[in-house]
Amino acid sequence: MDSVEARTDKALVNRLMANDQTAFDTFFNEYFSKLYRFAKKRLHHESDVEDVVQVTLANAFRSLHQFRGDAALFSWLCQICKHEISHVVKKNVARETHLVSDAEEDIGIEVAELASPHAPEAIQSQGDLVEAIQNVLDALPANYADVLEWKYIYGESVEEIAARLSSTTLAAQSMLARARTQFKKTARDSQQTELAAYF
Amino acid sequence: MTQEDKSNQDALFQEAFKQVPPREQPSEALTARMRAQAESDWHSAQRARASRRWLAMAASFAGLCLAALFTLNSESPTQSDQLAQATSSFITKGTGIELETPKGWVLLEAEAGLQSGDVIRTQKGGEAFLRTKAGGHLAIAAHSNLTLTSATQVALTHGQVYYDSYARPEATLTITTPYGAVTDIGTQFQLSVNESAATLAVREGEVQINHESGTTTLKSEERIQFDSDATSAKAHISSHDHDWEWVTQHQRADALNGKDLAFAAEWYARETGQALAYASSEARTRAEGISLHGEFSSLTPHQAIEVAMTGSGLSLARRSGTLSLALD
Repeated sequence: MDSVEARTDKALVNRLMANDQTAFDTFFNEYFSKLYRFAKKRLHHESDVEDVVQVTLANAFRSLHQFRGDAALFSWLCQICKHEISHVVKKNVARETHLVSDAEEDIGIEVAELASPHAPEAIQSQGDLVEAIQNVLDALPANYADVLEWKYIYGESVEEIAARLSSTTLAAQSMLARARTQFKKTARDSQQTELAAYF
Repeated sequence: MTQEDKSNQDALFQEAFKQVPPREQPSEALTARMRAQAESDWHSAQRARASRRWLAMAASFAGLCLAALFTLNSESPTQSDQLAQATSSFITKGTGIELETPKGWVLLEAEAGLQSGDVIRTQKGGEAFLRTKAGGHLAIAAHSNLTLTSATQVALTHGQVYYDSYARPEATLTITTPYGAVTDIGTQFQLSVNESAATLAVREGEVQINHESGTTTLKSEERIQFDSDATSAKAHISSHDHDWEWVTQHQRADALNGKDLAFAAEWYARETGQALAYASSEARTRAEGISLHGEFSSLTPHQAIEVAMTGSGLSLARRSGTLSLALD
């Protein structure tokens, strides 16, 4: 994580601890969907997903003072989420129901591996690549992930993206360029060499 | 980066992303529910942290025994300072409303601001009308006790409330009870809680109950009772049933001055859970052409419509849930 990102995350956490309502809105808007997808990939049942995300957020709020900014805030949240997922999986296994697809080792994925859940050589199918790309998108700041999704998944033009952002075409182009750069950097940092090499 | 490089980058991303579907998004309803819960958890964590901080500070000054006393006496202003930044509700009117403070229950007056975390109750014979920051209206009957958990959530431990979101999606409110939580989906509903169970009645729109036994959605004119273990079968309650009358009696016609009679009739129909129909287009035109001027703010809906109709040349008939406006 670069120092700017670390400062931003830490600043957000400090504002949350100072009861700043806008910080809560920013935090929720940025991370809820990502946590939901993180949990959804690892749990079969919607009710389990909702429970896990809710408990994750509650535990995170209680532990804000423990966030030091060493890792990205999303990584920190994923660690808490993984712990809760593990708890649910164990409970479900004990009941012989709702088993997560692959064993609990899947749950032990390091958050740094979020964007690279497998070694490069393991990216053998298009499905792996798709998942890897989606994981990297979720590891990006929401605004970067959004513009990449609008451009390359929905096929929107720069003008349409500019309209969504209520900005100029030039500004949208610039954000798109930064998003691409950040995407590649995140892929590389997570040692997802095959994905990085793709670009 | 040259233009050619940019084009190459663009092409590479297009190639890589071509099989990638959009990321799954949680539904709006789930997001709203989770936001309310998360906001509540955030405030709870903040309060706990503030209490711990003050306890530690006090302990360092005066020892554990004095610390407890210090915390009790100083927590209120400190917490208030912090909570002042949080979202709040306001008492628009009411009587016999009390706020819990470290020094006991303190009587509140109309227009008093309330902060997340405040615990209030209404005395026997009292009543309270709150407006939430998002624009919803919460009526609290006599002898009720509730906590304003956050801007979008309250906890009702005893008594009866009526909520009207005025169909504003952002005014979604979750009310937790000892027996389960209910979340409105743009609606008017009534919830009462006693020592053994909660009763929910929906006048308009939809309300979701999150209960130990699962999630149940209640639609307009449905009523259900639930306790910790189970929910009853849904029963019918008319939107103009006498059960809603306590709210109607306490509503005031604040917004009618300067409006036309058609507006007043529409407002009255909604406040009393009835549909509005015009017997003819002439009747509608007449109603739209009559401006109301005067002091309506102290009048109940029934009194206000009676005053508004006087001398209008129109008559109002009530027939099985429909108000019919006709020329005399």
